[in-house]
Amino acid sequence: MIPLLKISKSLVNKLSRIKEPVFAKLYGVFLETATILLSVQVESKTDNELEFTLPTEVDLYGLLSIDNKEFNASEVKEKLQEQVDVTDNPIFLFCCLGKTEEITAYVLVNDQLQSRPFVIISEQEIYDELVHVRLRGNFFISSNIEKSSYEGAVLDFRNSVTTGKLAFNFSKTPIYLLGTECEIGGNLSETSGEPIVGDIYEHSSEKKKKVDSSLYPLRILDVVIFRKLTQDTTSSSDKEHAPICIVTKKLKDTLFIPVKIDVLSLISKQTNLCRLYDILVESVIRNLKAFQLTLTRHSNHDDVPILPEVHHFFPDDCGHFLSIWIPKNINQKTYESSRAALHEQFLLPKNKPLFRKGNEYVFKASIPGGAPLINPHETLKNTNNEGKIALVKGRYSYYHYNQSRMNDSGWGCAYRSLQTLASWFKWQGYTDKEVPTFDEIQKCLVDIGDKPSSFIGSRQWIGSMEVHFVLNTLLGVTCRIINVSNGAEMMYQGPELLRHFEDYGSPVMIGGGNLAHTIIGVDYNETTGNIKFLILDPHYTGSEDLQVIVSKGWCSWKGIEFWNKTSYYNMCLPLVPLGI
Amino acid sequence: MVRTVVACKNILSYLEQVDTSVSLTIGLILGQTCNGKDYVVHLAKTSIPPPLKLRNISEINDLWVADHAKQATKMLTGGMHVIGVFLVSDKDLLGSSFPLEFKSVISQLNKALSAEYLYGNSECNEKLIMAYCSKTRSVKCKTLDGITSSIKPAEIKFCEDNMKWIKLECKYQLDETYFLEEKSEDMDLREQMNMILKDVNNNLKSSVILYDGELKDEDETLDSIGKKQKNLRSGKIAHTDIERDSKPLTATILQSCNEKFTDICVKNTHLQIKIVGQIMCTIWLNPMISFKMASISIIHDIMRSLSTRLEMHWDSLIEEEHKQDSNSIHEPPRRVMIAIPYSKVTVSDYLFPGEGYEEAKNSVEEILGIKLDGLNNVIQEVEGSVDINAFGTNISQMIEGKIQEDKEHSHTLFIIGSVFALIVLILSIVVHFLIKHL
Repeated sequence: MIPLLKISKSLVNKLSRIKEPVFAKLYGVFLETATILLSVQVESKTDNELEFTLPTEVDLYGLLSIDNKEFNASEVKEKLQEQVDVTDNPIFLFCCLGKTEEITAYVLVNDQLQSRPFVIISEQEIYDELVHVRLRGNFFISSNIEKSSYEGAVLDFRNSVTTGKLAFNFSKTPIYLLGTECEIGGNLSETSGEPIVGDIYEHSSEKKKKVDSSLYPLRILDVVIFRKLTQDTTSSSDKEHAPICIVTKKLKDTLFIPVKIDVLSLISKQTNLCRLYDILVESVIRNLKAFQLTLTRHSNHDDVPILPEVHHFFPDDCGHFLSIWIPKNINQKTYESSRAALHEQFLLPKNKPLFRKGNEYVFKASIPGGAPLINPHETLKNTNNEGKIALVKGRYSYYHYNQSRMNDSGWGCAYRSLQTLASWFKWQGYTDKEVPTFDEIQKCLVDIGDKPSSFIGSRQWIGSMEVHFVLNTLLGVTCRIINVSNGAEMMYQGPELLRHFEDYGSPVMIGGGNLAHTIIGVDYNETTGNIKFLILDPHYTGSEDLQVIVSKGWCSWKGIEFWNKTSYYNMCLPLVPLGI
Repeated sequence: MVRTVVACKNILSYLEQVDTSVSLTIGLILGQTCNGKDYVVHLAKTSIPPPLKLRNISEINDLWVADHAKQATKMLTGGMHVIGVFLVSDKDLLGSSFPLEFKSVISQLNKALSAEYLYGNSECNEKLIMAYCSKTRSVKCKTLDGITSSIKPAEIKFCEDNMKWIKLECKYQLDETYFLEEKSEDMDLREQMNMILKDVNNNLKSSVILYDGELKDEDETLDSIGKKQKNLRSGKIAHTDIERDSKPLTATILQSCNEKFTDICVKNTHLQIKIVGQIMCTIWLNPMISFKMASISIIHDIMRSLSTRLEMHWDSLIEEEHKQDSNSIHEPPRRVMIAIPYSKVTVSDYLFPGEGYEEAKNSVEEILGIKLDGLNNVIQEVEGSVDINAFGTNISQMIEGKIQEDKEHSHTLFIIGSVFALIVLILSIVVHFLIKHL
């Protein structure tokens, strides 16, 4: 039986960006009852090596053709047979240029293209059935300094992985996978039949709070790698030799290379745990192949190689993860053409960065405790203003009083607002620079001559202009300053703010009446003229407790009465450059 | 609470048979301590250098006993210890007062057993003193705390049945390479071996141990495993010992992978030590022992075995070999297991390359006083040996870098050869032209 065909909605949406006839590759996952197509990839002028970009188990299942004439069936068949090897029944999608919403689907059966019904499903529906597994572990290998030597060492290490020396543990559970023979530790035995991944997921995740799931919508199972120090007693009857020591005396340069495994797999919740062992081993091998490729490609003979690093991205509207390997500390500029190619290959808009370091997917597990919260407003409900809403785009960190063991209560609010703005530029990948500290902010203002040197270490306030100076000097960001003569006038700022959030989407700092705030959204009703502001208040002095912050109004929608009628206000609206 | 000592009837008959007519006898009590009870496995008489005869306890040399205890401990599997000393005499030694001589015997004993990686002293500080009086045909026991020197009474029970032991097995695989940086101080072989021991010990202590593939609650006891399984499968708790006999509990040792290196680095090294091979670990534990103690016993077994064989190897080398300046392959002795005749429990001994079972038989008889009837059925070879000569090519591959060098060497030769050929060619052309034009 040929399984059902499901196509991701974001895949279909992306097709509208295709402007000329093209053949593209379709990647997806195979479930017991259906094939889900998740990703589309076109050729690009500067091609990246994309072998290990998609999660393990996301494979090439078919091809897509967009053309202004009918397709040539024999050409299609030939291409399918040549390129798709995970299935005997590859999928072929066709649509006319400019009418990408009208897709026809075919499946190759017995050398014939048979038309197939299909359904388009949303991201949420897809990730209800699937689970991402993130496998991590740190190893190191040693070798001589020559290129051939360390290449050999990586290869040897890769080969050792396949000999059953690895074990996997589901983080925070007593469940260990030791091999394919399904000796599963822990107390899953109560469940009838063979244990599946879905059971573990229920087992490991505590009852999720609602607030959590909106910030981290993806299911990610953390798995850590262990090395088996013992041999399975049953596996071989041959006695291995007792320990011997081989001592080699030779003065030489020895290279130590840390090998970090950090790899994603995308699997069905119904996956049997015995099969999962093989999938995880396969993912380690893919990780090592990508590591080796990156290591080799960016190293000159006999030079100390540069450590490859992986970055996981889940761009908005892309619908799936992309894991990109690049050498450590590489200059973003050098890598621009490769990034551009990624945008092209995966049909992503080129108006903003998606593959810079700051754009990395934030895994819940990798956020240190006590770090500023990310996007606390995402748990809020909309107002009943019934206006047009525009919000901050992307991620920011919520900076407020008394963070990083510093008592700035009463004078640091504008600094904190500035930090929130700077964090937004970092998160969107526009800068690699860390969010500036108070010292750095003060030093910057002294350096540009705005303040006397006594300003450093003082508790003096700063205003909107200073925020602009610092953003401009440290991050190269230009801001627009809008003066508002009094708080009541804020009601006329609706159109301006709407345009800002729609066009740029950066958070806005506002200062006036001795107070500074951050505006991160606006709800403007053109007919009634009513306006609501989404305010992130830097005057909060408590700990990073989302519940308190949201329920006590430290991040909430405010009406016009929020502003002081007698104060003069300055808004600092950071402009955002176009490009990747 | 009075400490209880449990021993089989054959221990008593051993004591009864000791001849007390010319001298008194001192020896070691070998066994296991579990939940405040001491389980005696075997008594090993300390041999007194002839022609000496012990007539009085004041004639006992503490060092004989201490040295014997160290020798014996090396042969014990993890979890088994020298848990005390026994004495057989025609006097009632523990009658009214506690002889002070015992304090120094135990103190020396504890000192000898505290050697690093030998793990000779069990968790509890108390050592047993057991005295048999041949005149009254009675056994008396006391415990002596090695630290506080406090003496407490103990009660001994002789049971008819054989003791129950759970067999636990694993094959521990070593495959590590260590590098010494040029700037680091020169180490002799012994220090290098200590470095290895330290690293292996640390790795083991931070590892996770699974039993039959499962992570167990630390406080659960070993006998719970069989019971539970029985319960699940057939619905009744039956005797599971028989099943356990044929199928030992298997331990899997897992090491987490959290290397601290954050970036590629180059170090100038002058020495590389690779240790590779397998340690067969078979230990015997009381069914009431917790999984926590089981894990500790496994680690102790591996460390005791590894440190013992490395020390034996070191001792076998002549002084020049201690600071060898060339590449070398070291083959420490390998482990063999010997079953104690009247018990299931095994002890271990180590055979150097070329040594036969006879050697193991001798040391078992000499140190543990165990008479072995045959050889082949009681001595079990659990680890293989390496034929270094046959291994030759592989080992030169292991000594990494060598193959590399040869390749480069031939590469250079090739270039020199080509350049030479080219020069000859040019010369001959020049000569050809010269001759033609002359």
